[in-house]
Amino acid sequence: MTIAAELPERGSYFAPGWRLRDWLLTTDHKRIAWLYLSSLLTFFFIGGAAATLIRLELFTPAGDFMTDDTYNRMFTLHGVVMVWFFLIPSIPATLGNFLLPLMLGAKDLAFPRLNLASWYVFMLGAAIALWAMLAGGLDTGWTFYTPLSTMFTTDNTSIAAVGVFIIGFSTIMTGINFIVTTHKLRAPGQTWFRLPIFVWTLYATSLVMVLATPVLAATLLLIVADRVFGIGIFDPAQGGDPLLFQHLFWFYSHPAVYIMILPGMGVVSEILPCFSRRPLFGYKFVAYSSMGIALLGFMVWGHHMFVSGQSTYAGVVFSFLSFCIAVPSAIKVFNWTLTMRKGSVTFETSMIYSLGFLGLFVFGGLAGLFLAALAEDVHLTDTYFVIAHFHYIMVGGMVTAFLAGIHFWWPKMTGRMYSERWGRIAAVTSFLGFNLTFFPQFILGFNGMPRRYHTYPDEFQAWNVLSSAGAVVLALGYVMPLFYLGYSLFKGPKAPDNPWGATGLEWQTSSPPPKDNFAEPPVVTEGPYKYELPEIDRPVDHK
Amino acid sequence: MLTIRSAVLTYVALIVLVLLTVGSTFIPMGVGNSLVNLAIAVAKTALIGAIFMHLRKPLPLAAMSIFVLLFWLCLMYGFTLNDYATR
Amino acid sequence: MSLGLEQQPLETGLKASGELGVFVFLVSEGLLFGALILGYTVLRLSPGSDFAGASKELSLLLGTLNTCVLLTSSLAVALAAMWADGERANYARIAMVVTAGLGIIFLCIKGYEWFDEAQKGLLPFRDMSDRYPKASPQEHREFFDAYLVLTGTHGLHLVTGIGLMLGLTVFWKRLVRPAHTLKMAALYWHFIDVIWVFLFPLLYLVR
Repeated sequence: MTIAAELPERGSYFAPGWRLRDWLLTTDHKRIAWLYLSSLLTFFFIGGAAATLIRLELFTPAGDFMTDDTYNRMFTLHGVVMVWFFLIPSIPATLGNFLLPLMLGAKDLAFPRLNLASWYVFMLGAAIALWAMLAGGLDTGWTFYTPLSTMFTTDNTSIAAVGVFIIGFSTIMTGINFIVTTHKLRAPGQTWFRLPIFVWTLYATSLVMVLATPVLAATLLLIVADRVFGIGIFDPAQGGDPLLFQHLFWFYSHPAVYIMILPGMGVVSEILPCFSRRPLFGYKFVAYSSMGIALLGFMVWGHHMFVSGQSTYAGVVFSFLSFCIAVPSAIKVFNWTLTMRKGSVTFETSMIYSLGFLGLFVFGGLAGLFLAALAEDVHLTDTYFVIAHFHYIMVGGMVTAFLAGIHFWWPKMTGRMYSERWGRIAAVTSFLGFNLTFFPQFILGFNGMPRRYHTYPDEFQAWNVLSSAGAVVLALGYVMPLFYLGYSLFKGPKAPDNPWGATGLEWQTSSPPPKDNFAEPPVVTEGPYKYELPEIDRPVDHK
Repeated sequence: MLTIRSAVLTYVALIVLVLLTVGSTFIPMGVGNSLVNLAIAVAKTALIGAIFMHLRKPLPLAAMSIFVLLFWLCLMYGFTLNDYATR
Repeated sequence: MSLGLEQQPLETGLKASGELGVFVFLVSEGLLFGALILGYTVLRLSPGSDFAGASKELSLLLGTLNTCVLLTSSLAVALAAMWADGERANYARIAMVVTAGLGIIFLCIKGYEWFDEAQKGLLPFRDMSDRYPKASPQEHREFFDAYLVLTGTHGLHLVTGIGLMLGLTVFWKRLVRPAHTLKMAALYWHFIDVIWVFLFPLLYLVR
């Protein structure tokens, strides 16, 4: 953890102390957010290192850089680290932890000690799983499919599964904390429809966390039971069904992708109104569609199993529902776009990231519709088309939104302003690098290059080279913030309470906030997003 | 308000239901056995929930969370068994 | 959850938060067991499984006894929660010890059952086939797979519950809000009981 060069302001939450125990034994949600942020960034770069090695290997058609087994371990490491050690906790555990009480007008979360415990549980699980993967490895892919994972791997599969199992508990703890906090600790006057959309999306995310993660726990438990005790629930020889694993696994893992994206949607819903100086268009639609995504997200998991041996009828049902789930996302996209209409748009760093989110999320989402169509999916499944689709959403969407949020709330969290020029350069660099990396993968997938293979026919090389080159640019774009944000901690100008002129309770307190968030408990008398442009003269009424 | 009387009465009712469900096993009813057992299990759960867990006059949120659990179990079972039933 | 314009109460209260937190947690636990029972269901519905035949191998007597033990423990913890406020706190602590004791009795009976079933070669232990022959006949394996997973997971939860009860009893004086904590723990205990209420017919009464 960096130490500020000068004494933190009296009255900031940094003031109580900088000793190790002030950080490791804190129950202050703001400090816990920093604990999470530092670990998550570390894991992001570990997962990124694995990705770098993968792209390096894919530079050439032959498997010259790694053996088959090593490559399998590499993409497994990349997937497990990115999904469970980074994406799932990312915005909720960092920005969510920091901002939820502030946005509600509360002093802290409902269960501060549970919050700290969730970080320790997270670190324990991550340490176990990381050790298992680095020492001998896991090569099943992050999806742990049976019967490979139960019957044929001879490495650290069980230990890795246990590590992920433990991380799941951390997720559930965070979810419980957020749900109870949102219900019980709102400030006077802070009714549900006066809440910022970020809170709505955190709430929807927390519901999914609590409802989906236990099923992952059950699934991993069954894998370990199979490997250790010989319990053959997924073993056909014992009358079991390997497909049952996939049902149970995807019952969690599909909603998990909504855990990953919903908070990003919330962040963008805060930033777009601010830098358009317009209220969020269709607030209630955005709020309800967030809940709708959470609900529908549990009804579509079979679209990962269209060619697995699932019944065609079930496939049709899942396909139909997968089309349906595009609707709430589309509603949000329309609302975000219309928010900017007749606005006074400026291009701060977080706005550039948010606009990038808008475009890349739409693109990736539309690709999802291709995959939702049963017949099309037979051609596209397990190809690079799928990889491109989910990277557009996860990286182009979620990571971009994460960076948008970090930049937007950086002054609030640290009391410092960063260099806007470098921020914009990094945002544009990562946008260009991202597209160069992943757009070729749509083409590769459509032309038939399978995923999880490190050798490929020569005709695919051109696109692969482009993709690997893009990865270099993307990596550059992601490394840059480390430098200028880190620099701002020491030398950045002091931030005012509300540098962006944004609405929301978190901006009504100092930057950084005091330990108990507000000098006096706030009272809320009007709705969110009260941005007004005098030249338009359109009074908007929000409850 | 949970009184000793209501707690003990509930307990007695639960034991009676256990004996009932075990007893019904010895009457062959085919599928009916499973249904009876399930119904009795639900009844016992309702008793434990209503009396011991104070769900008779619950916090609205506690009641809602039970409803959410049941609904989500229906989703999980419904969509999964949908596949198995139509293979 | 109010959707209107009413004022929110200034003090929403720690008690209400704690109880809601426990219920949300119980929802997650319900889904955990729900997923495992779904596994059971799929196995039971698969052709070639003989759940009725396999269930006969279980001891109905011990299973019924265990069910009654657990229900009694629920009564004990309900009484403990009742006595927790006020001057009868010592009765509450005794009741908690009784609850934990009954839980331990449950685990002992269960352990004996497992030992007995292992001796008969019914439990599917992978690397212990020299001491415990693999389950036979083959159709019974599926049942015992599910049986081991379900009762094992339930048992682990019971161990947690017992730990909670004993911990509360020992540290009662040092807790900030012991009665409130006991009520939360009691909710968890009742939930474990409810799970067993479902497991019992699913495992023992399939004949």
